[in-house]
Amino acid sequence: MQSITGDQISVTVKLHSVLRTLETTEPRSRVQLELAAGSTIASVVASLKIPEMDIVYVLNDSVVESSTRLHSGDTLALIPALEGG
Amino acid sequence: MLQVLRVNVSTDKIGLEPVPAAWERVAGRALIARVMLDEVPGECDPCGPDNKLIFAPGVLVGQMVSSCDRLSIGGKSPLTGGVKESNCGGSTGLHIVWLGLKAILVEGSPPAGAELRLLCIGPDGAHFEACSDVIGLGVHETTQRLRKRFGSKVSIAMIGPAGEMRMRGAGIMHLDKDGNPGRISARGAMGVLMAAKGLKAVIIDPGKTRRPVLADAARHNAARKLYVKALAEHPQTSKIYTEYGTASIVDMCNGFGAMPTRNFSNGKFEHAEKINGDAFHDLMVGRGGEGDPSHACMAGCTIQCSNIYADVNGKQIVSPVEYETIGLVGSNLGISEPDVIAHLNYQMNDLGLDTIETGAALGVAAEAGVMEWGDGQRAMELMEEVRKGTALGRVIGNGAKLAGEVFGVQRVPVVKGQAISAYDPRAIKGTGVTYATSPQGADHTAGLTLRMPVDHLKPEGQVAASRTAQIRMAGFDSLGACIFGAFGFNMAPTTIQDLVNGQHGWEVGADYLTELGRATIELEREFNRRAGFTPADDRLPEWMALEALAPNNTVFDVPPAEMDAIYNW
Repeated sequence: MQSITGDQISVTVKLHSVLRTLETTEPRSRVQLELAAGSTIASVVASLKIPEMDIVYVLNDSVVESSTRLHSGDTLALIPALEGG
Repeated sequence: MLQVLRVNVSTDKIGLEPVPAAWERVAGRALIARVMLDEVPGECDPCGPDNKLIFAPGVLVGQMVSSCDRLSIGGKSPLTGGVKESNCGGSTGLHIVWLGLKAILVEGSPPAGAELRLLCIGPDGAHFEACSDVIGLGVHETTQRLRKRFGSKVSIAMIGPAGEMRMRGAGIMHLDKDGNPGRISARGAMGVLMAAKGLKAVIIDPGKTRRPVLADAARHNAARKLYVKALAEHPQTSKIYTEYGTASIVDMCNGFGAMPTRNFSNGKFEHAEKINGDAFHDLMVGRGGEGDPSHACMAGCTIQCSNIYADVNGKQIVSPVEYETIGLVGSNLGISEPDVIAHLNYQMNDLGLDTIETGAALGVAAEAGVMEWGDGQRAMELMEEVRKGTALGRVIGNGAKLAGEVFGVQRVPVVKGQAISAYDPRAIKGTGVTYATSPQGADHTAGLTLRMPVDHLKPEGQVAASRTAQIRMAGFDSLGACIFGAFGFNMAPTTIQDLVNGQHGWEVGADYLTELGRATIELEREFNRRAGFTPADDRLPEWMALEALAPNNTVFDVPPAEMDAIYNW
């Protein structure tokens, strides 16, 4: 994705449970992404081609919505949601 | 037609009775609530002759529909002093229904000093047997001996040494579909109630019995297919629970800042990634051998959220390791080694202890300096104290409330005397409302709100979220359905009524689940009222309103007046 200003941000994305094996044969639990400035969590989900499922987004230390904008140095955890146990 | 088996341990009279009209269309948790109101005086001694130990399979039990063969065990709780229903998987409920029984009611008191014995139930009737050879033994050795004696096809509901010593952390253990004693009616000290009835175990021998005849087989089969298809198509029930199990909730709860950490003093555990679903999954897969991240606790379950955890040599340590245990025995004690959690889990199972209650008691003990945070070896030593029945062991085995009183600790995570499960209510406030108001006391099966569309950190909307969750859970516990089956039922919403009507011919409507849930809670609240409970009992411990929880720095602040109105439907 192209930023209007051309600025890039670097974000660490942590993938949990079934998301670790998306499009790979070996589990990957962490990926480093270079994104256009102003990118949102939703754009990360799209770029990783994550199928539609209920996901909890933890940005740094807080649970946030998918519309949240990311900043360079952020750590985003994508956690497939569960009900309880 | 199903019947009621009534067992009097004072007179040793055992008899079959027709099901009273008022009990016909209820089962599981709802039936327990009904029986409690009809037959158990509210003020009775939980360990006295007037209390009853009730086994009640749910409405859908007996047909091996995926996740729908759960058993409710109940009575007046020796832990809370109120109504109790404790729910489990395994094979016990299935076989009770196959024997044509809607419920087993155990009443009376054995003669003082009488040795514990077995209640054996089979196609030819029921009788008592002596069992001197298993008295004092752990659940695993007891299982081996009883299966050798009665055969590998029987179901067994049994207590361990903790129950025998009437420790109020004791539950009733059951066999899973493979004969492993890994399922437990954990909450509310049902193991103490079983000991008070003079029973070490109940043996359910199904013989050659099989599924009861369906009222409308075509309707039932069509609904079953639709429901199982929905489970198979839902990512949660076809993949996430199946491959990673409930341990995956560690990341969610830690993300929400609700992970019980060092006796509920923090909501975020710094070593969560060492004990999360990924860590357990990778160890179970990587070590090979007997380890397996996917395991069904009940025959016919397609979700298979259970697991078998093995050591470095691939030899089974325990089955299963579940989220609640990881929370209370792991982060709550500052323990971050999966092997240590698994070994503690095995010991608690062998003693017949509820891991939630016992983990909470250990957390309180650690706060008092009885063990260091993260010291798994010391925790194991304390389990040995429980096994020996020392004074210290009895304090731990009797649960968090007593431990707090004995050790002089103020931060005691209990409601109605029962330990809070692995969701800190200051960061998941709807679940806090459930803990506070449920007639069951703080209970992880009474109505979690983790996935409710509400801001968990704010007080607004929490009562409504809890109300919805509580009604739904009371309904599911009465159906005998695992709450994880809800993913399938939600995608195929007519299947609940079609399964019920196909099995029983009752012609229930679309609101059946809601009506069942509401009616059950109303009955339970009336029993608790008769037992002396007041709105003052429907509160979290005061320190949770005063002590802010990191990292969100929130206290529990849902207004009491709002909580008092939760059951005004």
